[in-house]
Amino acid sequence: MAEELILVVDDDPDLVEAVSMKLESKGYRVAKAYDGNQAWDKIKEERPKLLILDVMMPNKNGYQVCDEIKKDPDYKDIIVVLLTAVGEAVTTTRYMHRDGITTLADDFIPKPIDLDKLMEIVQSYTAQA
Amino acid sequence: MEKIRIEGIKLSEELCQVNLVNHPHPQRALSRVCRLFSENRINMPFLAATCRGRDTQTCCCVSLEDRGRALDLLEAEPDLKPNVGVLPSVGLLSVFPHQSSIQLLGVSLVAFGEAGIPVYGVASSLAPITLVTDYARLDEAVAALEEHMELPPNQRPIRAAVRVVQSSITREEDGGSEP
Repeated sequence: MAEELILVVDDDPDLVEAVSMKLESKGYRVAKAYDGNQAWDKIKEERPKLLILDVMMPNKNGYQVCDEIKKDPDYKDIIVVLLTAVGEAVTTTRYMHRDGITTLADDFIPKPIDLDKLMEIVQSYTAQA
Repeated sequence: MEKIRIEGIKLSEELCQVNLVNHPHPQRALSRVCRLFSENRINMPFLAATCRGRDTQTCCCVSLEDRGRALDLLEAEPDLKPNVGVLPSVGLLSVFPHQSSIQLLGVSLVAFGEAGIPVYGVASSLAPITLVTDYARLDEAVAALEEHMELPPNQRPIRAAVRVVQSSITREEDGGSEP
């Protein structure tokens, strides 16, 4: 079975590393980015199956990246899982950002991340189980 | 010499460094500092402890916003106060990934040394090596590192986007929003 590519995007390199190690241990290929602009570069270069995307990042935040992906016909099928520190206050995957951007992610997981829960989410959207 | 390829450099906001030097009971003192800061919801983006013979130093960094409260707390502790020192303006420079190799640390220290940039603290975590230096010299430090290291194309050092604070989460009835 082909290894599916997951792009992990967060400005915390420790978090990116921890999530990447977990994904790789499950047989996924992993690409990494540390802000929204880098994320777009990687999306265009490598076309991941799924994004694990932090919300609060420098340069271009996760809301903006998710919004742009979902509005782009070439990339809207990429699955987006948002990482949010306000997860307990969120009951849907629709977020109203203060900039007025409405983002419809495919799923979300609150920080601090439960890696096992994140793996469950990733596996539910990919063929690898 | 060929440059080391790295994935990124991250810079912190301006911080204050609090040092606890040569306390007669360093472990107890560190425990006390952590308890004081935790009880008062003061985050420490950096914490490192070193020991060489009888010389010990614990250094931690707090945000400028928390500096006054942190120092007041330490001043009020007669057991800690004589051993406390402060660097009022420092910044963290994290370079990653080290990939469990000591090379990145060695090259970082060489780069700082060549440029005459002070290092007030060093620590490693899962991906980065983090060095503490003068906040005003962070850009200079980045330039010094870039003499020896190569970032990916079109990538510049990232600056911390958010400051982590300890506070209660407020549930919003309308489905939640980013604060």
